[in-house]
Amino acid sequence: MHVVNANDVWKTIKRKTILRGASLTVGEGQVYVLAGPNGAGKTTLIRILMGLISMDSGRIEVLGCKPGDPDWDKVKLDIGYLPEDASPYDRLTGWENLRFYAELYSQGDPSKVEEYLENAAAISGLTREELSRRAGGYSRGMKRRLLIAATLMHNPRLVVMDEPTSGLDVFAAYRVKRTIRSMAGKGYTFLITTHDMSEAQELATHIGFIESGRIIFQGTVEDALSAYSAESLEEAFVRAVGDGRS
Amino acid sequence: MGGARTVLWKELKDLSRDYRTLVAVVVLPLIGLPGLALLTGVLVTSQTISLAIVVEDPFMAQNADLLVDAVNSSLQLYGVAANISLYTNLSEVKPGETDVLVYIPNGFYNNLSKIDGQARVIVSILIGSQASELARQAVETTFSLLSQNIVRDRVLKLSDMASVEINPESLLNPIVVQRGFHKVTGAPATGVEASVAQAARILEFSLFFVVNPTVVFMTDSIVGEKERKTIEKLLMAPISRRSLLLGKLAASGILGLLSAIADGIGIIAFFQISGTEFTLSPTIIIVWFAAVVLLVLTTAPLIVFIASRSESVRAAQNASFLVVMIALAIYFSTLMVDLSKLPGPLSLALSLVPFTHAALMIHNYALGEVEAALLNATLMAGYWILLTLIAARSFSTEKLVMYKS
Repeated sequence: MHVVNANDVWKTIKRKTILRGASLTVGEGQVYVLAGPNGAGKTTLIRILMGLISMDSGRIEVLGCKPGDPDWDKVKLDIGYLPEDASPYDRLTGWENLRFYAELYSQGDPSKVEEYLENAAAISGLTREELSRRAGGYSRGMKRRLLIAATLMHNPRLVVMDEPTSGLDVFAAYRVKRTIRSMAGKGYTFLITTHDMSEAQELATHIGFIESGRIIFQGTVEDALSAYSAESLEEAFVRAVGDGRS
Repeated sequence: MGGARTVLWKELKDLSRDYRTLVAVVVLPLIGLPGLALLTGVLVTSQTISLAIVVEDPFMAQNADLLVDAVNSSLQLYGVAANISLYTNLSEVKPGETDVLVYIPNGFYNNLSKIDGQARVIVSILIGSQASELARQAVETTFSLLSQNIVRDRVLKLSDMASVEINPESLLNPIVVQRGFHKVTGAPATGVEASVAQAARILEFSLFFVVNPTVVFMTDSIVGEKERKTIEKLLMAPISRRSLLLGKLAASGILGLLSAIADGIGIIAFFQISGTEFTLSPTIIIVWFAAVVLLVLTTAPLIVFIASRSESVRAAQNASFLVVMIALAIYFSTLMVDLSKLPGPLSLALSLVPFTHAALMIHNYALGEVEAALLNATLMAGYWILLTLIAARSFSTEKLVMYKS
């Protein structure tokens, strides 16, 4: 069953065409990495998939629902979304940030709030003392771990992360990738964007190459390597773009 | 609705740690306004001016101490402390070194003692000095009282000479103006009611202090979330836009009310401490509070509309500044203008601005026009519903997300 299905999506923003018929399919349990250079349209496509912005044309279904449909607010309960450069509320403590999202995702069920908080604390890897401090004093890595915990706390069917390691140092990025791998091992479905091909290779079971608003390839990592006779995804991407441009 | 409550909890938690906003909105009026009255009082009473009295008239010189006592008494009434120096020759005084100069020339008493004589006294004050101006008024009051006493003596002398009975008071004040008050309905009003109606103008002006924090909070709450990169994740949480908006509007309402209470207490304390007459009745306070609630409820969605259409914090602040200026113009004018007495087109234009009705609500109630005040309240409620619907419609996730800080 397809968790995400986007077909021929077009989007123009301020007279600039960002997406030119982008199509992608994410299956259950996959770690789908949407890889491409900056400005390729990754974030715009993710935002359209999340129903945050509209598309000009195309067809989209996420968890069996079209974004923006009346049932979309219910579907959001099964999605964990981490935007690029997202930040926690600086004046709230780590706990308070987590509680805020736990309250929203629990939909008024107090037992779920406690369950989600426990999940989040475990996923974040932050100590109780660290969680009791205001998030404004956290390092970028700690902030990201807190937000990842808030993204995964409610055991979503689909996890969408836009450039999850962007701007992090080596140690923080390593921790984030370790968390993603660990959750992927538990059967979560991931849709992750990155411009870093080595990161894509580390995380992906499935890969989509996006360039100038088009998905120029999608399939398993092995398919990508074999399709472009490449030893790495970086090499495969360069060849895919070259093929596309030639 | 549960989502709205959660957003409200988050907003209030966040606000409770935003010390700058809290100090500016709540603590500053509570301490600042009474502090201002105290400071002004202390400064006014601690300033000392120099007052030189030059008495060249020999008879007046003999009674100069009585004159100094009389001037001193008047100065105390005006709350002015002065060092008074007596001279017998004008050339002894350096005008630049004295704030107020009172010159009683030779022949002063002679002119006073004639039945139709007119004596002259010269009072010169240092320009640009408020204390000197008060001292001038005190000196003139002294001489005015002296003049009245002399007129009484002259009248009595003339009546003796003419062997007729004359009441000097009737001669001094041939027309007595008896003051009364009435309401717009024509019913008589008491002096207290007149004072409350006058104080209502200050309450109308105080509404401005409610608009400002609401504007600042709402702008920050919407555009600030974009800038701090917290909005996108929040928009993908399972909460409807309506609940999200409701939570934010409720938080701005609470801040607006806190600000109004602080301003109200601050204003009352200001007038109490400064000793200025300021009479309020319990019902006018209730009407003012209702106007504040409606004003906050109306202003917040107006700012949501502006903020959610703004591409940047600066653009939102600039557009919101326009709203603040309109509010300031209306509420400042209430100190001097009767909004209800403006000509048709101007009145119509102002009635299209929701802020006007909050002021008119207080104004009309203070004048005894309860029905008109109720109409203003109803119009405010109408604006609130209309603006909230517009705000909900304009609260577009696309605009919120696409903003580049």
